[in-house]
Amino acid sequence: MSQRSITRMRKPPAASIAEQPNASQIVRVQIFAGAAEAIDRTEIEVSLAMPTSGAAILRAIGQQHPELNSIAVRSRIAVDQRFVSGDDRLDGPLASVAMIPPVSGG
Amino acid sequence: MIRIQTQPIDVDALLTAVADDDCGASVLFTGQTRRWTGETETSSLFYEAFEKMAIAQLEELAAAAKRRFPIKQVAIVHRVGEVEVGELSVALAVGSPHRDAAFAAAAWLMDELKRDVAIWKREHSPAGDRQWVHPQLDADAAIDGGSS
Repeated sequence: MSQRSITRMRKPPAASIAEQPNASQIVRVQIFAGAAEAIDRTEIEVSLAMPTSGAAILRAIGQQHPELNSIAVRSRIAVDQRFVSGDDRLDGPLASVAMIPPVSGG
Repeated sequence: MIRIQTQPIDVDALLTAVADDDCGASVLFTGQTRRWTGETETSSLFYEAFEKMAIAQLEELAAAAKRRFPIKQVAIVHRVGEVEVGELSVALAVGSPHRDAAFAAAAWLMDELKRDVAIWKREHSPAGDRQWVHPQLDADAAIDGGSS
């Protein structure tokens, strides 16, 4: 057996992980305002079962970072700077994910 | 003109941006830091934006307003950082052939901005208290103090 095939058996390529139902992905989530102040950070990591959704990401944030739960339940998720609805199916690598707490511009 | 900036807002620049020979009306709205909200005193507001998203949202709002109302020009500028009492936090201008559409579009744009655009304010009191404003989290939904 070649070295290449051994490597492949031990560590499947990232792309195939995303295609497997229930494969998990570590996603970095940008956070803002009161949420960022609550934990003194502007970014967190969450482990997500893929495929996922906006609602599932918010649940995962609340479960894995309990100090953010109260604000996560009132927040929305943006992917690539656009809001996703709670049940939009999200799959594949999620490059830019943000938790958007209730806004107060103006 | 769609901008998020730390420097003070120049309203003349917004009116210049919406100047159009086909427009007989220009409406300018400004929002500024308010000292009193009920019995709560504000000394300044601090604004934070998810700038990349907020700019994209404001550009989409401007385009949507032009589809929704018979207007021709839109300019929106929002400040970030600390905004003292009396200073402008936001300004928008709409240019339209007739005034009714310009008034309606300006009101609609501000409502949409306040509902969706990824910008947040933190209130600072004279005593040094600091409080982020997340309207749907506040027990009193009317709490959105210190600004427009």
